Amino acid sequence: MKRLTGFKVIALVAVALLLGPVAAPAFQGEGTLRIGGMWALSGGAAFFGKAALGLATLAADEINEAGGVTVAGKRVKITMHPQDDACNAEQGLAAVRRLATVDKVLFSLGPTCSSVAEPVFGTLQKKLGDSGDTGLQLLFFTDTATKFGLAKLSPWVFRNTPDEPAMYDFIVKYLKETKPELKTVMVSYESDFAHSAATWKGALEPALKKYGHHEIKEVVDWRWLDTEMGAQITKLRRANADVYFALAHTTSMCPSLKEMKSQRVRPKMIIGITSLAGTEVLINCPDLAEGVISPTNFAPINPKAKQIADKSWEKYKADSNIHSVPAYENVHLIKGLIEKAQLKNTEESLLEDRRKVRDLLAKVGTFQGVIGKITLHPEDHPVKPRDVDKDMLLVQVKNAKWSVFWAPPHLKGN
Amino acid sequence: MDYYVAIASIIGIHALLGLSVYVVAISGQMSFGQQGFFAIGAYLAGMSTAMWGLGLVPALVLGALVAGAMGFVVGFPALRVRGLYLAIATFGFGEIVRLAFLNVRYTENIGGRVVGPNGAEGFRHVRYVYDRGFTGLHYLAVILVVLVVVVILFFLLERSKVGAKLRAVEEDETAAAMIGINVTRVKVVAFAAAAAVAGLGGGLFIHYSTYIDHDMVALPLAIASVTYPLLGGLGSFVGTLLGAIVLVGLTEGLRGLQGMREFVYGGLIILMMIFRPRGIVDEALVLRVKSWLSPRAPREPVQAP
Repeated sequence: MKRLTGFKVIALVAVALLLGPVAAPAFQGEGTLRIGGMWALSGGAAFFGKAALGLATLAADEINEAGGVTVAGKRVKITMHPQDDACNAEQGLAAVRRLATVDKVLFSLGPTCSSVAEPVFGTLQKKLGDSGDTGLQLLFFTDTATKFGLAKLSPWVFRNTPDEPAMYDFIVKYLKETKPELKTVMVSYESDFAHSAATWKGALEPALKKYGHHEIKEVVDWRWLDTEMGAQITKLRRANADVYFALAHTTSMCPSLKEMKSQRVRPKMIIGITSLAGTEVLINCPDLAEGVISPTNFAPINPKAKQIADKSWEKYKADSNIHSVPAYENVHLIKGLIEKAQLKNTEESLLEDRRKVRDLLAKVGTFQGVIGKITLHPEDHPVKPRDVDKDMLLVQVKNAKWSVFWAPPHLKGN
Repeated sequence: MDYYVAIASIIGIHALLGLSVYVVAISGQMSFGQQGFFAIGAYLAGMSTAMWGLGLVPALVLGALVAGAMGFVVGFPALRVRGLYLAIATFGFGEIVRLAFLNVRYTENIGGRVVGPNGAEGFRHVRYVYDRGFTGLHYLAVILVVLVVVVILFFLLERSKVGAKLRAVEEDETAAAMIGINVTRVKVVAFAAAAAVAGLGGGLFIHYSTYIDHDMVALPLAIASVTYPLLGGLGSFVGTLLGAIVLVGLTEGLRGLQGMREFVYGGLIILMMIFRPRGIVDEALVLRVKSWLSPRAPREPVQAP
């Protein structure tokens, strides 16, 4: 029998872990309202997931400190229920069901990765209110997953994420008009990262073709966790283009910039992917990233934005960036909708409550974001239903800090 | 409830993938390429329902058959090598399949949606299950039925002449050949059967997730597929099922630990391998269980002449 001890221990651990998660009582009777979030809180994309969780928690704390949210005439506190999907599709598929049926959240923020959003949103209900469609009825108000078109997957999905086709369209046009002498470009992207690949194929390449000003000299790819890209950088050195679009996240961006330095590849301008505009690159390779420009929807350009950036870092060590600040905006926006929606906030009314908030969100139109107005498109928008339009800026690494390279005139005075 | 149903569904699908490695393993080989057959089954079954209008069952069968046929074709050259060389060859096959799906674009516009394998964009809108009113429990039942059928086949296989041949090849190829076993045929048939089981798992997966892309069938899936039978033990197919339950269970059960999850997960696996170096259900345990189930009749004392 002694030899079976290990087997028994393993069996007990497995059973205990599987039976571990149980629903805790909550809702109106307990004076709480549950909101969820699924992000990459572990693994390679955890920097973004943890930042979004921090900013969402900051918003919930602000609301709770101000007395909470009014539901059915009673002030209730918001409780956050974050789940880790580790940027893994299968973990995301389990996490979304946990949020919907164990945590029983009113709505969810996240996910971080588009590769997780694809299957998760794909399993949500497609035909709203149709009992024959057994897709999950859980409202998502996404902050990070950026791949173009994800909100079209289900009427339960809304996004406050960057519009990359519009951003890169602007950049190419801006370069053509203000730097016409820069005529050749080279590109790198991460073939295994849905966001990066989609930025090249769906945003930058169409823009370059549309304006026809730039000649594409070279396009190389690598994987997002690669650290050795000597062969690709050699190709870029041979291409010797004026502008280098580095559509890579920090994990591969820093090693590639190091390789560029050692191979003495010196384009006149380097433009990064949207996700670059955060603290991660400044922590990992500030010297190498000096001069890199990145499009973004957030920079601490007004007192409110500065206050949020400072507070989120001080309280949660959370980076305020293009992906995390929308989590803050989304929680505050939904708080207002909850107060209008006449929710019951009971376990029995959960599906009905989700639907009420969803329907109100579909009619929001324009709302105030941290640095400017945000327009949430209606469901019948021909190109990007339930997606937003918002101000964009170009930021540049200067002396190991992001500084504004370009901002629309109406934001400059803020 | 839905959450546990989801976990059980993932376990069922991964168990099929693990079982496909197990079949190869009991013929003395180790394949790191079963995720390639999983991908073939997934893409083909997905195209069958989402683009060609087939039902779920024919789609799953088609995916499994094509994956099995591919296994048969790949088996001949791949099984000329052994051990680590075979592991590398099969992993190479898995990568070829993955990269092929990274570049394949075969889409149709159906109801205003782009449906079909779309290169790096992946394959969206495989919504057969959800559009036809399957609940999570219904689909879990489908997965379990498929798994039970496969398990029954495995049960019969382990007690059949073919099973004995597989074990004989695993123990000693030369000795097996000397007693008249056609080693190549046994190995190739096992490889094809394993590929079909992986294809079946892939077909079930895409209908569960509605989406697949090349990155979902990369190295991590290969490692997971090999870990299930190794951690579970090669003494019986039950080990592979337990391996999938324990590993998927750990992944989900440790969710609350967030950043520490990977460390604890790795640590627990190391502990398991220390306690059970030949897996949870090793050969010794199988023999012990067999002796419990069919205790020998007490022997008559031998009379001295």
